[in-house]
Amino acid sequence: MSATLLPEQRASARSAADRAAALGAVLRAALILIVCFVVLFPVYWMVLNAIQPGEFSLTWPPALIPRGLEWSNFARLFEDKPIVEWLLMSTYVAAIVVVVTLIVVVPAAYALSRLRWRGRNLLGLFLLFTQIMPGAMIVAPELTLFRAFGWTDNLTMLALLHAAFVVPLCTWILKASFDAVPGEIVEAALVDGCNHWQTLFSVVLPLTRPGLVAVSVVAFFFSWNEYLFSSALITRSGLYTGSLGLATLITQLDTPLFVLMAAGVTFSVLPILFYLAIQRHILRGLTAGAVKG
Amino acid sequence: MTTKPRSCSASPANSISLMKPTRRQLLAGATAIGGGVLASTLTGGRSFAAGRKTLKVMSWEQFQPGEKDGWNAVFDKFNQSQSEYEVEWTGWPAGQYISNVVIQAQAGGIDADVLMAMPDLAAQVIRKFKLAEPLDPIVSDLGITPSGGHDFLREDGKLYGLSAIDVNFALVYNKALFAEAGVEPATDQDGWVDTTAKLTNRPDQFGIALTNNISDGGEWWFQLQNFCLPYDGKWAEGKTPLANSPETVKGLELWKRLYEAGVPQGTAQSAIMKLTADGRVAQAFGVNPTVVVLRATNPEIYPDLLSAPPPWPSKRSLDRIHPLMALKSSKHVDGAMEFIKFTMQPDIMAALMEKNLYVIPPYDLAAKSESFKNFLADKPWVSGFQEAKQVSPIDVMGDFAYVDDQFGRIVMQNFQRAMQPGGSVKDAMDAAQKQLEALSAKL
Repeated sequence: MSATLLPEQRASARSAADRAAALGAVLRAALILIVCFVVLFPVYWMVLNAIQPGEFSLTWPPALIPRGLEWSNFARLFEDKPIVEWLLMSTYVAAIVVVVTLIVVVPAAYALSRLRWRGRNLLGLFLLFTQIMPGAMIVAPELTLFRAFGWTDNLTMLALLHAAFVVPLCTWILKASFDAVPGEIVEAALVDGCNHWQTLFSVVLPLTRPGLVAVSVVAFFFSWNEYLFSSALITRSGLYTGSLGLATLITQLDTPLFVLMAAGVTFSVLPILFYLAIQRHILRGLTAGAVKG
Repeated sequence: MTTKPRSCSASPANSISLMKPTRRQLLAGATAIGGGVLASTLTGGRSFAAGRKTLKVMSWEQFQPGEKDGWNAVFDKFNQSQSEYEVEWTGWPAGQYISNVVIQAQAGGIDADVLMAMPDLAAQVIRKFKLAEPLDPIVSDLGITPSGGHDFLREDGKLYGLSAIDVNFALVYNKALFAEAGVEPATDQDGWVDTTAKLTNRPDQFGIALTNNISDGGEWWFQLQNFCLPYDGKWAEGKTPLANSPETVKGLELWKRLYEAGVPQGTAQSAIMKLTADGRVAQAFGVNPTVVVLRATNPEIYPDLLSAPPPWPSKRSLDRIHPLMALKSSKHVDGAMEFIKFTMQPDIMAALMEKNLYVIPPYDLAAKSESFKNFLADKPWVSGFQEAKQVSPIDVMGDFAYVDDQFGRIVMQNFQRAMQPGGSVKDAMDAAQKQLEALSAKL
């Protein structure tokens, strides 16, 4: 039996479907707004308190829109603390981490993705296992090791340690990216006489640049924000990275709240610029290989 | 459709090249600049006078805005007083200090010659890690008698630390706000709650500054630890926790009544201090450096600040001695001893205390320094701190003094539940007691 809808019924059904779609869109928009609010409000609050006069920040109800601009927090920060040096130290360490990570991760990911060898899966799992160990558990042994080799108070060695921590995760990210390259392309390169190094550098890498960018971002941000190992291994104030320097603003009984907010804003600027410069590649890189056709 | 490479030298994906050279330049430039700064730091950082040995003093004081200048002056005087050693800072801010020193000790030794320590850390360094050198020769050379609070720094009859900073708790209050409300500082527990309520006019004015946010965990425990004392309780006796004893529960119920009567609830400790400095909080239960911080934040409030002893009959409050210790693992133990002896000299110590507004001396300094005696006489706000009866944290924490941080975290996490309206302090402390008993098994 087939039912034929009258024009009024069809219009009514269409109208109900439209209403449901509209409601869905409203709910989706509301959810996006709520999530954005939860994520962005602390950042907004930090910026607001950094730039508006302090007396408006400790009122009730709080001022949610700037009631004036005051740059004294930034002035005090740059006068009292060597923040530019801290940021340059962080940049130096993070840059080494990115370079070293890429050098190590590219062949490692290729070996896991494209080569067939005994123990491949086991090594892949072992790499993940290293990520399970909490940093607090290994900080004392790391310090013992660094002392034995005379590597404490050495930013380059700190960068190598950061790279060691980030390599396993980045290897898996890049492996997923390499997995997404069609096998036929790789096989064609090999058939044409390329060895694996040539295939990797001439064929696979140019096709997986989003993955490389994603790995760079992960390595950069890890190093930029890392505090636990930096504080254990760097004790000379002249070698402080940004995260160590910022912590010096949090003192006993006397934390300059709004200067700390200004420091937070300043510390965030470089990663944000870095992120803006490469953000269009990140999603592609992180999701590469998630769906295989 | 697939892309087939024509030769190994080909770069088939040029058309999908996504990276811009400017980004590379940015990274390369940042690396070069960072390298330059690092190189200049490494080459320019070591400006010690030729031939001098470096003495490292590990502390958090170099980060304390109101106190670092006083300590830097001591360092300068020491460096000028002799030609063998050059003393320099190492360490971390107070919030991360204990954990980092413990990590160092666990890794085989502390990278310093002289260690300044919080009381619980000092106890660990002396008794658990056994890294301290006896300081009795300094005491006899200078002919001083360390204050009674030094007892926890003794082991087998030897003294392993001398107080560099001694802080105790009392009621710091703003006399102008008290006068406006027509009240006097309380002398008993119930009076304290009443006074606090009268001084409160939310959201413009608050009766009392009490740290109450778990994100300020260390600072909160620092203050909350005192609240076993209003009814003569203890947190632990030996390895037995006493978190749910009637005395401790009553003390925490007092804290909760104050919290409800006049605390800026849910506010970060740094914001509470700012409100106090702005004259919007009438009293604070804090240590004497609270006055230093308030003066540094708002000099205009300083003349209005006075202190009163803890408002309970025993007037007992925690006295936190932060000793200087010479480390056994130091390559320059003699230098470390020399520095501590230099710092403890009456004229040097008096100048430090006057500069930093420290009011509890490590020994009877007023008898040895006229200048310090005059300094104390000129400070009307010290009387409450002097009237407080001092108790060491080690006395109220038993064997848990070695795991003070963990103990505090367990108490605060459970006590948070009691802060809700209708929340039961007794129930919260019963839960804490069970966790603390489990912790005692690990001592």
